[in-house]
Amino acid sequence: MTSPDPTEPGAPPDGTRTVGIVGTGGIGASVAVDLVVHGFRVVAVDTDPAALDATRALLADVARFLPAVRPGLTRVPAPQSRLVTSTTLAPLVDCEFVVENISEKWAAKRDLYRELDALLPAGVGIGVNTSSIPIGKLAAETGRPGVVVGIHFMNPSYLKDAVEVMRAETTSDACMDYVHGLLGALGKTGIVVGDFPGFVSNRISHQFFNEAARVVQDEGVEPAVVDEVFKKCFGHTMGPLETADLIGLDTVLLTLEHLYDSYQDPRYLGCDLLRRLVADGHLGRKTRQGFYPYPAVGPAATSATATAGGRP
Amino acid sequence: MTAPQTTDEIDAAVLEYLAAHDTGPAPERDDDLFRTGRVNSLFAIQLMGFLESTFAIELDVDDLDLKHFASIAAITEFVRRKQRAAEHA
Repeated sequence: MTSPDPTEPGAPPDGTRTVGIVGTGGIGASVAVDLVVHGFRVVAVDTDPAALDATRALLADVARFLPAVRPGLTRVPAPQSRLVTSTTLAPLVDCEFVVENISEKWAAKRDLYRELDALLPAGVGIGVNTSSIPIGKLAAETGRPGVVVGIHFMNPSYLKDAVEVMRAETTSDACMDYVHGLLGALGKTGIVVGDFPGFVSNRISHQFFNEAARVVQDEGVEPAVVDEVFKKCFGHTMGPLETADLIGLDTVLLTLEHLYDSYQDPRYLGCDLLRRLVADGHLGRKTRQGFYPYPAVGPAATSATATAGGRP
Repeated sequence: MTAPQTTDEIDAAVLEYLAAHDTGPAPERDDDLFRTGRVNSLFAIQLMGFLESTFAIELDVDDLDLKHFASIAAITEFVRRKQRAAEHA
């Protein structure tokens, strides 16, 4: 990794550092916004122009209001001018690092990594923002395995203090230093875990999501009651079912499939209720219906709901 | 100006917005929305966007204090103050 100097992890970005985002569904959009409000320039790429528009809409609200809930953060001047959007990969060539957030489908990821590897200057790293795809397997598709690293951002990124960092066997020390520096500039801590399917977070959380859905399905417990137990008894900020709605139930089901393929553990077999919701297009917040309804109220609710979910 | 103006109108619009995001019983006017877990950081940001567009106000940097959004009563008081300031600007 050439730039910037990883020995200055907290160096405040002044708009001179540019990071790329590929895939601006729910999580990709929130990472793009997180980077901009922390002073980075961002090149955001998605094949769907609507997803890029939603990223701009999300940035408009978050850049203005986030300082209310993140003390110490100030409003960054002209946030929209710091975001470049594109439906092709070409503008990523100017980025110091790229965070990839496309759907959790192996063939699509593999093809994208080959394209990125051909496009990006040598030494520019790629952060794999995945729920369950092995980092080492993607790194091996590139000629730069030393700078391919897993960074599992939590949703929404701009409200989270930590991420999981998945170090593959091939990931270099310099790349790890760079990632810690980047995360430091975002006010986050990177918790380094190994490169195994689902990592720590999703290997466990998806059993919660699936089992919580089963409790609704088999025992007739209301989703709000399941979530209330997690919030009030365990002190979680959100319950598993509202979290699944926020992530997107289609993404949850895809991740469960990966986890089942990896571990052959039937606890990862998506339950009937989850499958039915996805088959019916009830994907959570982004479609206004998941385990919960998300009715539109007023113009602000329309944009907020549309941008909180987004594509996986 | 078509935006809700009276205390009752603003209360009702805010309550309707909260109800759309929450399956629990309607909050009392003075309930602390954060302490009761009805409003988290994510929702607070959405709420601020809703207030701006619904009540034709603009939140400036000095307004980014969660105490303005801690209860329906506080939100309504804040919205009325911003609307009055805009009228006299």
